[in-house]
Parts: sequence; C-alpha cells; structure tokens
Amino acid sequence: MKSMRMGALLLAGAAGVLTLGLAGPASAAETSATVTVTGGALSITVPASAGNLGTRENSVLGGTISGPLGEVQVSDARAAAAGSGWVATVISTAFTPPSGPTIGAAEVGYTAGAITKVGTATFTANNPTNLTGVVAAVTATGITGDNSATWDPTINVFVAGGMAAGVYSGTITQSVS
Amino acid sequence: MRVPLSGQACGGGADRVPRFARGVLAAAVAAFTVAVGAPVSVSTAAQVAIAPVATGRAEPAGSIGVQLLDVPLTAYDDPRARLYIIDHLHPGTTIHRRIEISNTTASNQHIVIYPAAAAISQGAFVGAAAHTPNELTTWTSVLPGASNVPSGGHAIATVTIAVPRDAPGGEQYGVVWAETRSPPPTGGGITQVSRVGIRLYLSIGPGGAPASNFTINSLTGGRSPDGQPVVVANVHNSGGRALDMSGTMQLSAGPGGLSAGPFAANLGTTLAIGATEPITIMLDKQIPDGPWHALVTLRSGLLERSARATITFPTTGTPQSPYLIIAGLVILLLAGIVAALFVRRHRKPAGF
Repeated sequence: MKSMRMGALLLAGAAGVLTLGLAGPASAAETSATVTVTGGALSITVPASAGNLGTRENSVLGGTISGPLGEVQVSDARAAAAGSGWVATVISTAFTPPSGPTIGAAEVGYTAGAITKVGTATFTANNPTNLTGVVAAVTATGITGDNSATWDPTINVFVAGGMAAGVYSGTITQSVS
Repeated sequence: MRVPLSGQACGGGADRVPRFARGVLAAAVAAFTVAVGAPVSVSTAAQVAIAPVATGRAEPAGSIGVQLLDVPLTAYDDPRARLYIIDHLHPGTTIHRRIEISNTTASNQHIVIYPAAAAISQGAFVGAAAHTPNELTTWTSVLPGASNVPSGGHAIATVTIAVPRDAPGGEQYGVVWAETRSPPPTGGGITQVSRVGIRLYLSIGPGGAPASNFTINSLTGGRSPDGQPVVVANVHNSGGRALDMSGTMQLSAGPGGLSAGPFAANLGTTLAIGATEPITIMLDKQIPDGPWHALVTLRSGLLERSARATITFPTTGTPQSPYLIIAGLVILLLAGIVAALFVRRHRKPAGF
C-alpha cells in the first residue's frame, strides 16, 4: 500500500519533469513572463472529527487527559531539490467549557510519536508542551525527491484541580509549508 | 567493516568495555541525554488515570494539497522558485501567480484560501496563526478565496500581489494557505484545522534584486551524544535575501586513502538575513576517525559556496572515557600511596 502510494508520488514527479509548457504571458504589461510547471503537490491529511480526547473525574490535584488526535500524513510530491525541507506546525486555542474558566493552550502538549517515513528525508519531532503560539511539530530536512511522513499525535491536556465538569471545546490547527 | 582507529589506545567498541566501565558509560550517557534532550512532557506520566472515550482512530482520510503553477521565466532555473513564490518587485508593480489546490479525499471539501504572515526564526520558516496579517498580506489577495473542490478534483486560484508605490524596501515573508476544518463536533470537543501552504519570499526595492550571499564560517568535526560522527558547518547569511540551504559533503584522503560520501547535509534550514546557523551533516558510526579532507558544498537556489577543512572526529569518546577515568584514578591512587609512604618515611626520624 505504502509502496504503491510512493509509486504514485514518483509518477507524479516524473510527469512534472516532462510536462513543462509555456503559459501565455497573462500579465506581460506588469511583470515578466511565467512558465507553467506541472509538478506534484505538498499535501496534508484532512482532519477527521477528533471527537473526545478522554474523560477524567475532577480531582483536587488535577491531572492530564491524553488522547489521539487522528493520524496525520504529509506528502511532498514537489520533486524538490535535494536538501530542501518542510515544517509542520501546530497551535491550539484554549479549551472552553459550557460555563466556567477555560483551560489555556499553555496546558496543552503535542507528542508526535513514531514517524513512518517514505522516501529520503530526516524527520524530527519537536513534541511541544505549550501550544499557545505556532510551534514546529515535525520538521523534514535533507529531503531528496518525493517523501512522506505519517504520525499519530497524542494531545495531552493538563486539567487543574477544581475545574468545572463538562465537555471542553477547542480548536487545534496543524499546518505545513 | 572494522577499521583500526588511528593512534589511539583501546580500539575496541563497547563489547570490550568491562562490566564496571559499562555501568559508568551508561550513567554518563544517560546524564548527558537528560541534560541535552528535548524537555520531556511531565504530563505523560499521569496517563494511567485516564479512561479514553471514543478513540475512533480512522485511516488517513485523504489529503488536500497545493502546488505552484507559475514560475517566472527569469527564475526558471532556480529550484526554490518552483516551490515557493519568490520575487523581487519594484514598488508599484503587480504580479499574478496561479496555484492548484487538490483534493484526494473521498468527499467534497470546502477549502478556504488566504494569505497570512510568516517569519523565519531559529532556522525554520514558520507561518503565523490563522489570518495573522503583515504588510505583505495586505498587498496580497487570492481569488477565489474559497472553493468547493470535488473528490479527486482540483481548483485553481490566482494569487495577486500588488505592491503599493510607497512600499518600504526589504524582504517580507508570508504563506498562501489552503485550509479545511473538521465539522464542529456535536456536544463539544475538538475542532481540527489542516492547512497546507506555499511560502512567499518577497523582496521590495528599486533596481535589481539584492544580492544573495552566504559564507561558511567554520567546519568542525564532532560526535552526537550517541557517538555518531557529525560535521557542523557554521553558515552566515551575508546577503540581502533569505536563503533555503541545501548541500552535501565529500570526505577524501582519509585513513588508508579512503574516500566517503557524498553525505547529504541535514538542512531544510531557512537562514534569515544576517543570521548565522549551524548546519549538521550526520555520518555513519563506521566512518573511521580520520584525519579526513572534508569538502562541504552548500547552496541556496543557484548560489553555491564550498569550504574545505581537515577534520578528525573525536575518538569514540564514550567507550574510552571510562578507561581514561579508571587509569586516572589508579594513577592518583598510586601517587597518593607513594606520597603517603614518602611522607611517613620522612616524618619518622623527625618525630622520634
């Protein structure tokens, strides 16, 4: 399955090299002419509904709720020059209950876990423990040609003691460029 | 492959280290990784008390992708210009670039396309959260701004960057994002957003583009905490544009005339203007210590620089250090005994 997918990636890359065509100088008055490149795309998995991370009873000392966010795959079929890379980042909002104080994004951590790799690249997991700002989650460096990385992140939310009971809602954004 | 280490005592690996020394070795390595490694999430220790609910772990649900379709003819040979929107523009000019958004999921996807700010920090190009603006994004528009892309289909959007006449000079960064989000969970929970983007590197100013340049300041050989030989190149961006570094290293004139490589430089590092960052090249543990003649060639787009140096990797330090420590302790002990005997013998006549 994986090798077939990679085969498709390679095919797309090869097609990219072959099908170079001149595009019309659409805006010649304003800028220089452009060339159309039909290479492959950089892509990221569309999120499934993550649903519920987990449930824990309210306690005096507090504790952590951990759960899977759902598998993430980044595929890079851009036939990039050797040595280029991509950066996958993550950020979270605060988690808000129907009523009562929120759990700040500083209490939310992201663990990438094992990264399944296809192609030639070095993938590094950063495992941030504070998702208040945009922070690198997985970085690909030293790429040679098409590659893909698949991982199954775990979200860890520290719930302080005495928080209100209820379902807390938040948004987690994963980006790659 | 087993190659004798040059000129050093005890050429064996860990298998020849005595049991006591292995203990010391393990302790030393453990202490080192704790000190150097990434901070360990404290929260993971508390996982035991959690009762997961609805851990419906689905297969990857397909992807959304973006790719740049138009590359300026003048920059066609530049491999970076095929991946990113990279240009130098005079104030008052407008450019258009088409991008293709693809949907490989089994269903229609509502994809929102918009520009947002980005910055280069610590060698990584990182897009800002959500729709965070900067000057560049206020000049950038994407049409259409949203598209319902059918399963297996694609849509084409046009990115227009209109630089105002009074735009300040310098380089600015951004990302054109394609974004999807999971439907809001019923009864609350996590909403997930996935974004994939094309980077913008836009230089503004009169005349030609500011020259790109970089220098390789130093090349040093070392070892990673787990004993892997590593070459670190210190690279300084001395030009007027951000750089995306790539490159290789070749080793030659090694022990017995050996050659090795090329080894890929471990980069993907984006170097901000004026910044200096280390770039590492990891080598196989079986590579002999040297000395080697190292030739590192780094490039960003069409710009290429090389540096040469004679490098010797530190001897596989960890297995040998226990020997050194033990030898040192024994010498100290012997010296102490000799000194004590000497003092005692010396004092006896004085005392009596």
